[in-house]
Amino acid sequence: MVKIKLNGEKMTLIENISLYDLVRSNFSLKTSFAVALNGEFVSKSRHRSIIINSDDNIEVVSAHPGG
Amino acid sequence: MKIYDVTLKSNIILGSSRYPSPKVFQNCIKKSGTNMVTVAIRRLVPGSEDFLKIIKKTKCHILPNTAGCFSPKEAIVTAEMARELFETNLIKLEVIEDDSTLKPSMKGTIKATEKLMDKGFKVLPYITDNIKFATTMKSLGCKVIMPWGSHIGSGRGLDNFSKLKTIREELLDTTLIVDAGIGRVSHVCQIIELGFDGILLNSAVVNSKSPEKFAESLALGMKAVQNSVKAGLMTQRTFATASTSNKGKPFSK
Repeated sequence: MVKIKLNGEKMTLIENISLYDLVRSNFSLKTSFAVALNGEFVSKSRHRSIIINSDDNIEVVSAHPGG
Repeated sequence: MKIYDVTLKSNIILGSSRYPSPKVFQNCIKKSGTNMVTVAIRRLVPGSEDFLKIIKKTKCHILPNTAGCFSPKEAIVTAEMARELFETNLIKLEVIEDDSTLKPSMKGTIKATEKLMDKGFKVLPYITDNIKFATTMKSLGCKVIMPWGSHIGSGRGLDNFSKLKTIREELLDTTLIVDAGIGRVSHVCQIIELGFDGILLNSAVVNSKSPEKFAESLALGMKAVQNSVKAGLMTQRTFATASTSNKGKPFSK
């Protein structure tokens, strides 16, 4: 079991999967998004090659109204 | 107004938050004449795509911000995510030191600016009216600097005219935008009369009973004050100077 945090929510994965698969299975890929893993920005080009491990903290963000 | 290599058609930048509806937001953009809006970065939720569509439909330049960041590290990662999302190197940098006043941290802003400049960002730092803060930002390469007028969302206008005037006099070739505290069109006039290049506001528009009408009045006020400054403002004097000549005055000796 792989215990992680995704956008602040605790989550358990049954196996290690890629960052791309994690985002794909939890969000609509029609929406533009950006990702940080353990407090570091991860560019889109690296999403498929990065494997999620236990205790990883993933933030998936998008545009939001702001002043 | 020049924002690095982007020339805006208006000297007004609008925030995109808390409009009663997308339609009102779009109308406010149109009425204010702006073509740059600020946008924040938050966790992806259902509806995020709708907001992106609304923003894209406005055809405005997007100025992402790092609102809510309390450390340089958070601000830098937020800026990197914003760059990928919006395909722009522009970033309105906010590194806050105090939750109640939303005062920008000088130390944190300097640290974040240094790193972001190294990473190729074009930084628009949100700062206080402290001259040292402003000149340090310039020395780090910021071509646009955004001092506060007063606290964010306060609507008080300019708390300290003389400090802002000093910043303008010191940084002659920097684009200066007052970023916080604007509540009235008269504040806009004061800012432009001080020699500032533009304004960035959100709360004053959305807290008005008629945001569209307020946005229109912003554009009209901006045009009026720009024209008057261009025409030339008289020098202020301490003592009275009579407008009417005393020549031919009856009852005089």
